[in-house]
Amino acid sequence: MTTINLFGKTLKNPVIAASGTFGFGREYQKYMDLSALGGISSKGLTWDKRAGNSGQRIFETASGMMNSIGLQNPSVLGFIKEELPFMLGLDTYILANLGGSTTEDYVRGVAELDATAVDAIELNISCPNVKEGGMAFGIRCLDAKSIVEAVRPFTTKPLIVKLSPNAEDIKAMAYTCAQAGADGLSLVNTFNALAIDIMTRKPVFHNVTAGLSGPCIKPIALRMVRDVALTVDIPIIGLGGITCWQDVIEFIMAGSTAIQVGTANFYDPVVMKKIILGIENFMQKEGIKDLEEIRGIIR
Amino acid sequence: MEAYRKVIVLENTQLTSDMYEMKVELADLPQPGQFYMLRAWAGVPYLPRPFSVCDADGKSLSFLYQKTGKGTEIMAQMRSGDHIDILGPLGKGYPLKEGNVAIIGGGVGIAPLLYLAKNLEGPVDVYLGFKQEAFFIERFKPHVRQIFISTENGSWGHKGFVTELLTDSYDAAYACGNMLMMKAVKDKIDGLLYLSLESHMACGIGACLGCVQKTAQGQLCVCKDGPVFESREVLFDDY
Ligand SMILES: Cc1cc2nc3c(=O)[nH]c(=O)nc-3n(C[C@H](O)[C@H](O)[C@H](O)COP(=O)(O)OP(=O)(O)OC[C@H]3O[C@@H](n4cnc5c(N)ncnc54)[C@H](O)[C@@H]3O)c2cc1C
Ligand SMILES: Cc1cc2nc3c(=O)[nH]c(=O)nc-3n(C[C@H](O)[C@H](O)[C@H](O)COP(=O)(O)O)c2cc1C
Ligand code: FES
Repeated sequence: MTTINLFGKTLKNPVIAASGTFGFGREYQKYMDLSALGGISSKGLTWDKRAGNSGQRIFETASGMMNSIGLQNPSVLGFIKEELPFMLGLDTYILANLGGSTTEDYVRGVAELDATAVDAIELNISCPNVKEGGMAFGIRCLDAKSIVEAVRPFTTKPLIVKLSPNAEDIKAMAYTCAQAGADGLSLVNTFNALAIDIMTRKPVFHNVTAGLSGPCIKPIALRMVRDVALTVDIPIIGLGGITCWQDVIEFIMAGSTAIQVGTANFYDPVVMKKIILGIENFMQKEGIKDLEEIRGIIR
Repeated sequence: MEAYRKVIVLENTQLTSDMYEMKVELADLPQPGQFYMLRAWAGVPYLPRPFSVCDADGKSLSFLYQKTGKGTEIMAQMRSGDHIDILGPLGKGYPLKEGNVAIIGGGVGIAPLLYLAKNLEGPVDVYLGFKQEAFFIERFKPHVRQIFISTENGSWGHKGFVTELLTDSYDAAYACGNMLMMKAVKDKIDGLLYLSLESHMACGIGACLGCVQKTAQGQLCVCKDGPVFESREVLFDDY
């Protein structure tokens, strides 16, 4: 049985589509049955609608990519009206991923989302692509604490804080967010990174830096997940460079309750279907009845 | 719908110093102007690459491509019998218009235009601009009324840019090439003009929002809402 328990709900499996790599699910629907997924995290939402960043947004790197999308999204209210009804019809666990540039925007967003039927709110304090945009809150513990404490009273839903690998001290950050009222943590978001066009002698991205994701970040993400798992005892959703079922087992052994798949969806839109099947086979072969048996065994 | 399909390479022919044509076994009949994401690797490079449909006959599909980097270098080394992973057809193609039609292509931008010429009722005039080496001209001949050719070094046809030969005397026009060329075409043609745009892509299906183009209707995805856009829709302010 690949099912897992997350905040009292049963997910069919631990495999969740990562925010920003799966839209609101629509584009993938023609390639796979989305109800087979453990869950889907929405594209990062902000209080105001955002057009995103100008210039080139995608750059391939060795075993990965950089992106500078800049949280292009239809706003929290636009999402609730246009996209959420579709997502709620999918029979899978729905996370609303919320970014922001001010405490007020985060609070308003959380309050609106609390009144919907989303299963959980994933607080993105880690987007590196928007100047004011979230990551500022994900670097230093005090900033993260202020945001989590500010939004906590406005929702009874599970509140997951998505951590940035760019945090000054990932363990301290995890501990701080848990203390401030987070029900769970997801990590990691993208690594702040740089690419230069040597012919134009300029950065590839208008924003200069951009977020690195994909297989190249996996070993570091995995190390961070274990660090955090050894620090807090709230559920952890691990991600960063997962491309196959073996990667998922590693993240679970490092302490993740669930995992997310991001960039790999671009390489293969049905990769999560293959991953789920792989986990099933592995559990059968190894005689694992519940993924809890192997969660966090790497101490 | 199947996502990536593994297909067999039937032919992979070198046309010039850096242009190749790859024919694969596939029974699709896509719209002219649509594209596929191709991937002949795993791990490194990572992302699949977008390529326009250059020709299709219901049994096989051709791509015309320029060797410019890591991915196309791997493609150039493939032989008949090899396998390649392919997702598509993707995007919205060229609306097929009746009457006098002009087709304008620059360099590798001529890739989607042969299949377009074949599918238009016509009469069709094609304008092909190249840097130095002209290619593919014979392939257009059976399907068009007139061919205008330019090379920047004058080695074939008019010396200069092909847009210098273009007249604004058509019921509809179609262009594909680099943005500077398409801007020049847009400046020349006041009537109905369709442009096929490029953008760096990750997913190819409208999920990553990496390929957006500013248009009169806001930000649209080149992969899902394009790659073909009506010229009046396209805002060229990034160029
Ligand atoms: C809709 C569409 C249709 C296309 N059709 C054709 C075609 O028919 N024939 C052809 O030769 N080329 C076509 N291109 C361009 C082609 O996708 C690139 O030349 C190719 O991706 C280069 O890959 P590479 O690994 O050789 O180059 P690299 O420079 O190593 O690629 C690095 C990264 O940049 C991206 N990239 C590089 N150049 C381009 C470009 N011009 N446009 C978009 N992404 C780029 C790659 O996809 C990759 O992610 C098309 C592009 C688009 C968007
Ligand atoms: C194109 C793109 C867009 C993203 N957008 C968001 C976003 O809106 N909100 C968010 O929390 N994370 C976003 N991310 C980060 C991913 O959810 C994920 O944390 C990161 O990419 C690492 O996982 P991966 O290596 O599996 O992709 C985005 C990533 C990519 C590649
Ligand atoms: S390439 Fe991903 S949205 Fe167009």
